[in-house]
Amino acid sequence: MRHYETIFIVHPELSEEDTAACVEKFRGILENGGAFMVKEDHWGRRRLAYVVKKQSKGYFVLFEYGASGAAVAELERNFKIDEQVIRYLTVKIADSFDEEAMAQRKAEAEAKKAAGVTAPAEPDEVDEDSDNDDNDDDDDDVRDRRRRDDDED
Amino acid sequence: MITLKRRKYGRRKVCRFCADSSLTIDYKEPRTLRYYTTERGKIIPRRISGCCAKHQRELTLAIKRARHIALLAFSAQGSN
Repeated sequence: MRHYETIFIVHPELSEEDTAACVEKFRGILENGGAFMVKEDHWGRRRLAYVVKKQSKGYFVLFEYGASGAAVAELERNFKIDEQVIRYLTVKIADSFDEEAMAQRKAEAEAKKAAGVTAPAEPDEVDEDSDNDDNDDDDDDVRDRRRRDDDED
Repeated sequence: MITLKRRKYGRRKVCRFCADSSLTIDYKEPRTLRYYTTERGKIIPRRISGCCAKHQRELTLAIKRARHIALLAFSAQGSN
């Protein structure tokens, strides 16, 4: 068992039920492969930084889990087949996976979620706004750095 | 004098990630990563960003991962 994290982008034009069914399917594949889910995070529909498969938006889903390499290979094989998934990325977080500690973490997260039900409700527009803000900030920084660079030369 | 030329406006740059341990490099946070790219989307070199080698390596990897899952652009598009 190793500790992995997978992000995948589901096609944005799917209905909510279809998206849920799609995520459900991949979770099923992982669990069939003997994976232990730690976290499942739906980032929701966000704007992509560039066009992927003619889509400029996408529904981001994050899985964090402990699994064997074979389970991950099976998951990625299915990502390649499924046309509803437009991008995916799997990253190994750690070489070992402590199931008990993770189970505890999961329980805590769920308790927190149950305590503050009203918290997780962010529409996708929020993301776009903050993106624009960031761009403005960035431009200034870069110009600043350029100036410094000129001084050095 | 020994030829240890100090720059006129020279300011010693410190790696932000070494100075502040609460800052993390994560490919899932395009906001922090965007600070280390130009507006065209290129990764800013170490001599300008002032990062230490270790963190620059981590940054580069994180930026490349973020690009793959479309959180960061490979290059600026459109009218630029």
